[in-house]
Formats: sequence, C-alpha cells, structure tokens
Amino acid sequence: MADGQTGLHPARASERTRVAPGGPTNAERLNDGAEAGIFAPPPAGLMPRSRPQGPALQPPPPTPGGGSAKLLCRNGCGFFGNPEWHWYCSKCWRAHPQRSLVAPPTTRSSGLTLGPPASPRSRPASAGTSAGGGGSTTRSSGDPRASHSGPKAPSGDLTLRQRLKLTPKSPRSPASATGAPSGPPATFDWRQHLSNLPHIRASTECLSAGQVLASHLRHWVDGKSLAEIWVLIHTLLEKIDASHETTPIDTIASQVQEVYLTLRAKFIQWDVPDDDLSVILEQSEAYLSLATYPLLFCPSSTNDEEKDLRLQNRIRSLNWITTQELRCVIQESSQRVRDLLHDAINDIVALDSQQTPQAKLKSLVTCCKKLIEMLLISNEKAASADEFLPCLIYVCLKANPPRLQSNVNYITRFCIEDNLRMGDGGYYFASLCSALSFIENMDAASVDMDSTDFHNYVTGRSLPPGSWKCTLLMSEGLQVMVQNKRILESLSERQHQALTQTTSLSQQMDNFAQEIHEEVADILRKTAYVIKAPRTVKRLHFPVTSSSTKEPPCSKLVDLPTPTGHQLSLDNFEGCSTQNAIPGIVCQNLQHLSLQEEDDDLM
Amino acid sequence: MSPPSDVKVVLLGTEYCGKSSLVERYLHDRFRGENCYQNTVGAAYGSKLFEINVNGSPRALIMGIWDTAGSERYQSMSRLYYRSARAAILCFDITCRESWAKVQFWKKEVQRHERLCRIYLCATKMDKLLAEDQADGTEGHAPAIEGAVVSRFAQESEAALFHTTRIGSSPTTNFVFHLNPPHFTFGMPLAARARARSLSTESGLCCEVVDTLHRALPVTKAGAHSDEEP
Repeated sequence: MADGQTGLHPARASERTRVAPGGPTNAERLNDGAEAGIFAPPPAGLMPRSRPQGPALQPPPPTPGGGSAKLLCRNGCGFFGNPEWHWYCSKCWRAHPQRSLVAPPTTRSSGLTLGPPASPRSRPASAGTSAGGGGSTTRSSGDPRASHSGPKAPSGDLTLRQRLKLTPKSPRSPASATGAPSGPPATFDWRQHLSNLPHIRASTECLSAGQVLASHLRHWVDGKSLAEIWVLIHTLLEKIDASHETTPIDTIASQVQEVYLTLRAKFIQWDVPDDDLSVILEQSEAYLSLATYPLLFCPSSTNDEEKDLRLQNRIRSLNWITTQELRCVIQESSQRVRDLLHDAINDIVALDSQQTPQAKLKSLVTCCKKLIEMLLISNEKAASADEFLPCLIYVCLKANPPRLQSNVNYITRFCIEDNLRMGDGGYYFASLCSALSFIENMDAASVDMDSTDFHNYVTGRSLPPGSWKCTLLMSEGLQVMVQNKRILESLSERQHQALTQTTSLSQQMDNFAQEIHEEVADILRKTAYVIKAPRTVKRLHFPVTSSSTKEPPCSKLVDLPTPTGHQLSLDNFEGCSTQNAIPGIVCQNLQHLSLQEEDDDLM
Repeated sequence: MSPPSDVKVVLLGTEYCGKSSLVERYLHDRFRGENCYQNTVGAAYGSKLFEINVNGSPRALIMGIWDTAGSERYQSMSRLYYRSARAAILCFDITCRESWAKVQFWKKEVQRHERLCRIYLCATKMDKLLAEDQADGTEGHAPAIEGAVVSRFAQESEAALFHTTRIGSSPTTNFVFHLNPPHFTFGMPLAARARARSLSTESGLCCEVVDTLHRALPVTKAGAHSDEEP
C-alpha cells in the first residue's frame, strides 16, 4: 500500500492540501518546483484542476511559443502558471480567494461530505452501519434536494450552459426519491437501486458489467461482505448522481479513487489473490464508469470541451507535418507499414468510443503495439523510445482523434491509479500525454525549422514542399488503388501460373499417349503371332489319306473364317493367351471331328 | 495487473547513448529460453517478473522498464516518465561530453522531483576506450570524462556506477564494477549507507547492470558499497 500512498494523484493531492491548509505538502511543493524547472508547462492532461470560470477571473491570452517569462504565475511568486488555473501556479491558485465562488458552502451542507475523504478503513464501516438502519433511504431522499437547492444558491456563478443542463432534470428528482429502496444491506439489490437513481441511466453494458462483477464477487466473499461492497459502490453512485453538476470534477475523481483504494484494502484483507484482485478491481471500475460515463465524461463543469476543440484545431493546423520533421523513421512506401499505420489510426480513434478507462487504455495499447511492429518492420530492430515517441506523435497528428483531451482527462481522473502508473498501459498513456504536450508546445525550434516557415505553414499561408507526398501516401483512394493493383498483380501472376501449368499438362498428356503407342508397337513387334494350326491339321489327316472316297472333313468348315483371317482381325489387340488359344481350340475341334469321322468309317 | 510491489525503472540519457540496447539486451537476449515475463516487442517498454527473498519469504516483483526518448526536443516531457519511478538509470556515452552534461542535469531533476527514486549511473560504450588502450595504436576514442570525475560524482549522488560495453564485444578485467547499492525499501527514503561489500565482476556486459540492479533493489537490510577495484 505504500505505493498507493506515494504515487500522488494530482486530484487527491489537491484534496489533501485543502484539508490541511497550513501549507503545501512536500509532494505539492515538488509539483510546483517541477513547473519551474522544466522548460514548458506540464501537459494539461496530467494536472486536471479545472474549475468553472468565475466572472472575476480574466485569463491572460495564451502565449504559444512565447518567452517563458509570460508563463509565470500571475501572482509573481516566481513559479510557472498554468492556463488551467488561470495562469496562477498551483499554490497561488489554491490560495486565491475567488476559488470559494466555485464550490459554495451551501452545497456542502446538504449531507455530502466533500471535505477530507475518509480513510480507507473507517469509511466502509460507516457506510455499512448507516445503510443498515435505513440510512440509504434518508440519504437518497436528501440528495435530490441537494441538487435542487444547489443551483439556486450560487446561481450568480453558474454559467448559462450549466443552468440549462440543470433545469430540465430537476423535476424528475422528487418522483424518484420516493421510490428509493430501503433494504437491509444483507440483501442489497443493486439493480433496483441503480434504476432508482434519477440521472444514471443504466445501459445494458452497465447491467451486464454489474452482473459479471456480482458473480465474481460471490465467488470470493460471503453475503455480508458482498452487500458491504455494493453499498460502498452505490453510496458513491448516489453521491455522483446527486451532485455531479455542482461538485468539482476533481473532488468526484478523488472520491472514486478513494473507493478503489477502499475496495483494494478490503480485498487484501479478505485474502483475495493478486490476480483476482486486479480483475475484480477492473470489473468494479467498469461497472462504475459505465454507470456514470455520460455524467462524468467531458462534464459541463469543466472546460474539457473547449480544450478538445483547441487541440483539434491545433492538430489541424499541423497536418502538413511529415515524418521527416518529426524524425520518425518509418518506411511509408511499404504497403505493410501503411496497413499497420491505418490500423493504428483506427485504434486510436476507437479510444473515444470505449466507455471505461480500462477499455480506453486497451485500445491505446493495441495502437502502440502496432506502431512498434511498424517500426520493427521499418528498421529491422526493436523499437526504442527514441523512435517510438515521434511515431506516436505522427499518428496523433494524422488521426486527429476526436475528443482526445477529454479522453485523456477522463482516464487520468477515473482510471485505477495503479494501472496508470505501472504496466504497459501506464507507459503508453504517459507517451500519449507526452505526445500531446509536444503537439501543444511545438514550435519551429522543436522541429528544426525556420521560424517564419513554421509560422507560414501553421497559418496555412504556404505549404511545405513535399507535403503532397505525405498527403498522397495517406489518401484513401490511393490506398485502395494500390491495394487493388496488388490484388490484380497477384491475380495475373496466378493466371500466368495456371496457363503454364495447363500447357505443361497437355504436353505431358501428349507425351504419355506417344509413349503408350510406342510401347504397344514395341510389344506387338516382340510378340508377333505365328500361325501353327495348319501344321497340326496336316498331321491329323495324314493317316486317313487312304479313304479318299469320303470328302475331306474339313470341307464342312469351309465357310468358317480361316485362322489367319481371324488372326488379322485381331491385329489391333495385344497378344494375349485367349487369342492365341482360339485357333488352338478350333484345331482341336477339327481334330476331334475328323477322328469321329474316322471312327464312323471304321465301324 | 499490479501486485502491491511493482518497481518502475526509468532509463534516462541522450539519444544513441545505448539505453535502448541495455533494455533490449536485458529483456530479449539474456533470458531467452527462460520463462520470461515479457509482453511487448520492442524495447520501449518491458517488464519482467521475478521473485525475491525478503526475510526468508518469497515475494513476487514486477519490474517495469520505461525507456525515454533522449532527444533534446522531448526533454520537457520526460517528467511524465519518471514520475513515481523507483529507480532511474542515467546512461551516458563515455566518449561524449554532452551526454555527461545531460546526466548531471537528469540527476538534479530526478532528485528534486522523485525523492524515492534511486539513481544508477551507467557509462556505456567502454569498448571504444579499450581500443585505444591496446598498444597497437588502433583508432580509439579518448574518454570525454575523467574516470575520477565520474566516480566522485557517483559518490556524491549516492549512485551506483556501472560500466558497460557494446553488445557483442568481449568484456575485460579492466572494467571496474563499483557497486553502491542502496538501502532500498518501498516508500522510504534512503537510510544510512551500510557496510561495505565488494563485488567485482569480470563481465561488464549490459545485462549485468539491470540484473545487479534488481538484485539490489529489494535489499532491505544489507546495503553494500565497494571501493574501486584496480
């Protein structure tokens, strides 16, 4: 658990300092120092501390590519400012008096604990006991009122957009509040509870994720602990449901993270093995995020949407960048590389359609693995970060993934912290953040170009030479054409092959026929038929020559075809025993006949 | 996918100073054929599962090795990588003065932002120096940094120092293996330096570095420090 404590989530860090306003913790000081020590301000994605814009705050115009003096804190404390904190540094921003307008105390008094998050150990106990005494009923009936009264008290500070979002939903709250369940925690019906939350619409994915989680949990914990977990998760859901529009997103994020930590501590306490523990945690994360995704992704209380637009425009203005400028060593001319590049682009675009942080990370990882494979093909050696990062930047520029900044923020806020810090998901996510930061801060120096050229290209006043190459390579029609050409080539190759094979087959057949003919002729020549019958017949007739009164016995057979004639008609056949036998039989018959006649004569 | 004890190791250093080869060698070469835990092709990110003995009981550790882009233009982003790292290996090319300057920069950066991060120094491409040491006068590079300077710097920053050769070249006995491994516990800052234990090695191969590193990481009681071996 030491890991969890030391790896500071930015949101939780801010929470902690709010609890103890005596001074910034060490970690906070480190954060501040980091901004001063590093040339560019850290990427917005990793330090989400956005607040709704108050009327009194006038952020100075952003100065891309300007001197570092312009990036300093408005308070003049010497540290770097950040646009997210209206150009204050993190410390001055927290100390700023205007901040109190953002989260007015009226919303805090309505049964919600926005203050110090409870420690992982103490919280589940309180949740369990309060729900046991019908606490969940009072809480859920109290919460809609909180969201009801919330927009009224600080109405001056809310933007029009927020108010528009609030009003249509409020009439639904009282009706649903009456139907809130009050079951004992031993049989907590999460489905019913979920359907009673006014703002959360349970999708089928969410319900199935809940089911998977429930079945998995049942395998590891007993009924009471199961209910405890459900109560823990659903207390959070209730809280989010009731106050997602009035609570700063980072507070919600830290509450969510707190629940993950509590769950983790509980599972460790119940001796769930490590592998299953991470699976269960991921499933709870999936369930939580699927239930709250529409409320917490790119929420109206932040300016995520504007940042998305800004990033999108920025990427669009940089679409002339080619692999040369980025020193990205891939062989774009190779079809295999281009296929992988397209797949990678599809993957990173698909990141937006996923609804849980884990799934988003997964599509990022698939994308990055394809990039690494691509580099492997291009360079024939394993890709290192020196080659990988430019490649990722290039893909981001070419794909221009929708709502990328919002996605990054969402993952930062609601992904289980350990998964973001460790593993390949964490690595590639850090790379993505780096890529975004590079894209935002890119200037002429960072791509080794002349600054006027760079400016002209960015503003679209002129096009870099050779930009058509890149465009050509990325063009869809050309892709199809090249692919079709490849298919045609392979077809013609195969046809040619088939033709050759046909010719050779017919040749073989001819040869075979020829060979057979020759062989037959050869055999015929060797086994030429020799007529032996006349000799036998002569010998038989020899002793009866004396009785010349009778006509010769063979005169009866005059009409029969002569053996030689028969032999001739069989010419076409190969010599075989039957054919040879035929004349023999005839002769024997003849002999027999003549002998009988002789006997008759003698009688 | 994270048992409580994950170790994140980050590699810092200029381009082409050999940090990628280090990982590649470690992950793909040496442990080929063994049951290695490795889920990526390429050396940008690699992880390895190993077991250690802490006070007699086995404990699984996953070490994730994060490679960083060393180019100057990505320098400002590196903090995203070394955030909450437990160990940083600062690589520098022994024949390149700029890479040494960068090491000093990284050391300050890392020590300022990540208190818990142990620092390891790694002088790469020692084989280039060797070419000159041989008396036949083959073209070799002069060391850009005095060996004494490096070891003094390593001592000041409580960093273990390693020397590595290029993959494939044969190791020689000239290589000195300083080891100044830390008293390393999770979530705790460095304690006092422990008793000296000399560890010399014949092989200065790349993989040794990380190997020794992960042997050194989990040590909670016995740290070690060695004097130079001639």
